[in-house]
Amino acid sequence: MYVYGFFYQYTALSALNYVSVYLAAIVYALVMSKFVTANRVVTEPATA
Amino acid sequence: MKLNIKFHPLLFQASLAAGGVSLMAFNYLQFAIPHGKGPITLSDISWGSLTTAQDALYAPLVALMLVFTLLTFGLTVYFLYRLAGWLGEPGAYGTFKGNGQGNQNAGIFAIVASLAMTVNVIWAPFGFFVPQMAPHMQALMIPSLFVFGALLLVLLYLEVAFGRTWFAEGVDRTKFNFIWLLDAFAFGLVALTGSGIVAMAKNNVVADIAAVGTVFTLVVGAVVLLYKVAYLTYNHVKAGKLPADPILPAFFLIVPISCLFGLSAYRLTGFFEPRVESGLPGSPTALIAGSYVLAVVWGLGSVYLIRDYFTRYFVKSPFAPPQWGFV
Repeated sequence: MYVYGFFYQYTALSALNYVSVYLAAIVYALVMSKFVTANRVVTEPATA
Repeated sequence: MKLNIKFHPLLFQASLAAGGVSLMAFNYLQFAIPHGKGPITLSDISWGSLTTAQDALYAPLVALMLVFTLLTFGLTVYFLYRLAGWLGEPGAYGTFKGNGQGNQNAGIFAIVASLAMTVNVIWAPFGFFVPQMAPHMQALMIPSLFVFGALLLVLLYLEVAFGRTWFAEGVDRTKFNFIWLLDAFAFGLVALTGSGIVAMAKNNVVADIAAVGTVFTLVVGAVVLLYKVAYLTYNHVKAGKLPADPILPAFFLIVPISCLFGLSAYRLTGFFEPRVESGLPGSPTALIAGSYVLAVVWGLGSVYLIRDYFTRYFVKSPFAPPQWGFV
């Protein structure tokens, strides 16, 4: 029981760690896309 | 891509965040794959002996780490180039420094934080892809010590120089927000750099100097952090409302700060323990576990606190520098 609990805990933490790397990469890509858009807005002259 | 947005020190958060993602991938591989002593390298992974499932798990992680490592170096070099141009503009730095209202000038600390992160990326993810680095790691320790010393000196100088502006007459400190903690974040990353030298250096003199520097960095950083968190929490509770939407992600700054301070202190206990006859009081494991628990609790608390921000604002919102705080 103890071993199973430990194993489950380890697996859960490991899975959480693994997923968090991709989550961070996705959020990075999202924020970077906002940054690129903001950069483009600065570049393009206002047409209105 | 040409950068048209006017240079701002907070731009360094992009390279800082890329380094963070790169280190996250490295740390996972470091602890998930059995290998010899020291940091894991690409040659430690026996791809042929891995199962298909393990291949599918690790290969994308290695690819992701490569992308973010390159991104870290590319952005760091580019922002340093832009920083040099900005420092050369007459009055640009002085005007920025003088603007203490709403802690708008606290972004300067993102530069130090990012450069400290880059050092850690060189040691770990870069070393992963360049296995030739591992046998020469000790030769890197003295240059690393100089870089650590330089970062610490610059950080202390900026802390004093910008600290004055925050307490100058006429500055409304009740308008300060959690971006004000960027200096504590920089102290955490510089401490991580120092404790990295402590953990890796085999030369006792180098390790001793780095240990003293790291203790100093942690103590100063902890004082700054505790004072600011207490002050900001008091002010936010007193105001009875959350700051403006673009600033809300700054609440998450406590998460990496807590982990950085915990990890650096943990590495120091590993260095000091054999040198203290009666042993150190308390448990080093409790120290690192406590810091990570605090990080998780604060992170979850922040998600709950600004839940409306995620549901109605974030996806469609324009870019705001504090958004890097999520990474």
